[in-house]
Amino acid sequence: MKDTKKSSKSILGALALVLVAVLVAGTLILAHGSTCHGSEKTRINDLIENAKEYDGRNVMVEGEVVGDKLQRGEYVLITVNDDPYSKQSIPSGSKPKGVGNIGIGVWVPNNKAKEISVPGSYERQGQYVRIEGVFNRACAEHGGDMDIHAENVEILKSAHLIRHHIQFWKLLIVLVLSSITIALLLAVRRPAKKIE
Amino acid sequence: MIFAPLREDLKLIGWGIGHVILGVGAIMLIPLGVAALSSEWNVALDFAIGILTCLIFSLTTELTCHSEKDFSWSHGLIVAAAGWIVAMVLGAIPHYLSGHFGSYLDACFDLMSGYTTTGLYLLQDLDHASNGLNMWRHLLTYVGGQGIIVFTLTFLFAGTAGAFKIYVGEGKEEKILPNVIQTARAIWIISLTYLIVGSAALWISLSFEGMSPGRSLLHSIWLFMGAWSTGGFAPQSLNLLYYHSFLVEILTMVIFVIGSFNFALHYAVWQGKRSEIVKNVEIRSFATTVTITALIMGIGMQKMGTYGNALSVFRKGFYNLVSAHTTTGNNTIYATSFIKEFGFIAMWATIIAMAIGASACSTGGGFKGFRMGILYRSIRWDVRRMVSPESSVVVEKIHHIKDIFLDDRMIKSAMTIILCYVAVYVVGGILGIMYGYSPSVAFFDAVSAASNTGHSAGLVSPGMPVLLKIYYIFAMWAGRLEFVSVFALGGMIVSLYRGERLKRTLR
Repeated sequence: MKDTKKSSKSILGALALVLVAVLVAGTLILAHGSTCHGSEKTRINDLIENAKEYDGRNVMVEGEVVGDKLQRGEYVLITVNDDPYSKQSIPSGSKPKGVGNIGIGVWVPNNKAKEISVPGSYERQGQYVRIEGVFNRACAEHGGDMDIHAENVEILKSAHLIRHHIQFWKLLIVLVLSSITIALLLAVRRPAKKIE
Repeated sequence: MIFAPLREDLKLIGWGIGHVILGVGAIMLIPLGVAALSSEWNVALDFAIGILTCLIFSLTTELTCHSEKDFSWSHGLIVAAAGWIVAMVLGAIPHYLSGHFGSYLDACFDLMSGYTTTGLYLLQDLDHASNGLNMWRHLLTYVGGQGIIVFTLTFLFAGTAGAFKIYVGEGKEEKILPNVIQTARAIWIISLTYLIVGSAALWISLSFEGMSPGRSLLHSIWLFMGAWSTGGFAPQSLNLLYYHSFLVEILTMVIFVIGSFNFALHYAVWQGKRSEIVKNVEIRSFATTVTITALIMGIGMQKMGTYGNALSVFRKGFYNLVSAHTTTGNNTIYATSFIKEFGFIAMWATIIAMAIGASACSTGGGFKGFRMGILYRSIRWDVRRMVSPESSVVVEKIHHIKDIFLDDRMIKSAMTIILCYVAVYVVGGILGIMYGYSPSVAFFDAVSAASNTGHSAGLVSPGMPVLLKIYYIFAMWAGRLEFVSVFALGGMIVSLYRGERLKRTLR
C-alpha cells in the first residue's frame, strides 16, 4: 500500500515537473517569438505586406545584395532582394517570371559589412546573404523608411560574373537590316527633304 | 458631312510620321553609345536593330509618301497622335530584345509610359538591367517630357507654318517665341541647361551619400531625367527609397517641381520677369491645391499614425504628394504602402493631387493648373455676375505671362478637356474594379496612368490583365496628348470608311 502511494506520488511529481517544464518552455518560445520570428526565414514581401505585424521584431531574410554598397557613417546601406531573380537574374539566363524585383534596404554595422563587397548588377549575380536584424515599418532614425537594422550577416553564396556571349542571331538581323537600309538609301537617291 | 481623306492626305501624314520616327532612331544613338562604352555588346546590338528599323521606316515613307505640301490642322494633329503610336511600337524593339519583358505588349506599355512621362513600368528584374537599357528608359522620358514632336521640330524640321500644327497636336499650345522652331529650341535649351546643373548637384550628393563616382554620375543623369520630365523613372526598383537619402529627395523634389512648370513661365523668368512666379495663375493654382491636398493628407496620416515624427511625414507624405501633384511618380515608399501605411484619406488626397496635375505646356500631365485656374475664375465670375446689378459689365481675367480676359469659349474648352480626363479616369477605375481590384486601388492606378503620374498602389504589374494594359496605354497616350489629337485620329479612321470621297486639292 505504502509502495503504491509512493509510486503514485512520484508519478504525480514527475507529471508536475513535466508540466512545469512544458510551461517554462512554452513561455520561452512565446517570449522568443514575440521579439524574433524564430529562426524561420521571412519573405521580404511578407514584411512589406504585413509591416504593422512585424514592426520592431527580429526577422531573418535571405537574398541577393544588389546595386551599391553605400557607406553611411557607422553603417553600410545595402539593398537585399529575395525575388525570383535573386538566384538567377534575367541577364544570366532567367526568363521573366511575371513579377518585378522585391527588395528592402538593410543597414549593416561597419564591422559586420566587411565581407559584403559584390552587389548584383547587369554584369554579375551578387552575393547571396542571410540577414538577421530588426525590421522597422517606419524607421524613426531614417526618416520613416521601411528597413532592417542588421545584427548578423552571413554570406551564403559568393557573387559571380555573368558571361555575356554575343548573340549572333542579333548580329545577323543587324546585317540584314543594314543591307535593306543601304538599298533604300540608294533608292531614295536624294538628300532627306525638309518641310519647306 | 465627313470627307474621306485623299491619298495625298495619307501620304502627307505618312511622311510626317516618318520624320518623327527618324527622330526616335536618332535618340537611340545615345543608349547605343552608352552600351558600347559599358561593353554591353548584346545591348548595343538591340539598339542597332532599333535604329535600323526606324531608318527603314523613315526611308520607306520618304520613298512612298514624300510630299511638298504643307500640313493643315488635321494633318498636324493626326501626325502627332499616330506618330506617338508608331514611335511606341518601334521604340519598344530594344526593350523587348533585352529579355526583361514578358511580351511585346509589356514593352510597348513601358515605351508609352516613358514617352508620356508616366513612369509606370512592367519591366522585370530592373535591378539587373544594363546601363544601355537604363539610359534608353530615362532618355525616353526626358525627350517625351519636352515632346517627341518638339525634338523632331528642333532637329529635323526647317520650320513652316505647318510645323506649328504638329506642335499643337502634341498637347502644347504656347509659342514662347514667334517661330515654332525657335520655341521648340528654346524648350530644349531650357531643359539641357537644367540637365547640366541638376545632374551636377545630384552627382555631388550621391557621391556624398557613398556611391562610387562612375555609378553616381549615371544615376545622377538618370534621376535628373526622371524627375525633370516628371516621368519618375529611377534606375533601381526601389525608386527613391533605394537611396535612403534626404538630400537626394530634396534635390529631386526641387527638380520635379521646377520641371512641372510651364515652359513659357521658365522663359519669362529667364527673360528677367521674376514677378511672373508670384502672379502666374498656374503657380497660384499649384500652391493652393498642394496646400489643400497636403492638409487632407495630414489628417489621414495622423489618423493612421504610421509615421511618428515631422521628418517622416515630410519624407513619406509630402514628398509623395508633391510627386503626385507634379505627376512625377518618384516615390519613397512601396506601392502597397499607399493602402497600408497611408490609409484611405491620404490615399485619396494623392489621387486628387494626381488628377489635378501640373502646368500646361510643361512636362507634366493631369487637368493642369491653367484649367483649374480657369475653372475657379469662371465660378467666381458667375458669382460676381449674380450679385452685380444687371446693367453692369463684369469681367474676369487670369494672369499667365500676360492678363487674359476670360470668355465663354475658353471656359468651355477647359471644361471639355477636364471632362475628358474625368471620363478616362472613371472608365479606368471601373475596369479595375471589374477585374476584382479594390475601388481605391483601381482608381489610384487609373488616375495615375491617365494623368501621366506613375505612382502605383499595386495594380500595375507584369501580371495585370491584358485588357487593362491596353487601356492604360490608351489612357497614358490620350492624357498626354490632351485628347484633341486623339479625336482627330479617330475622326480620320472613321472617315476612311464612312466619309464622302470628294475631289479636293491640298495647298
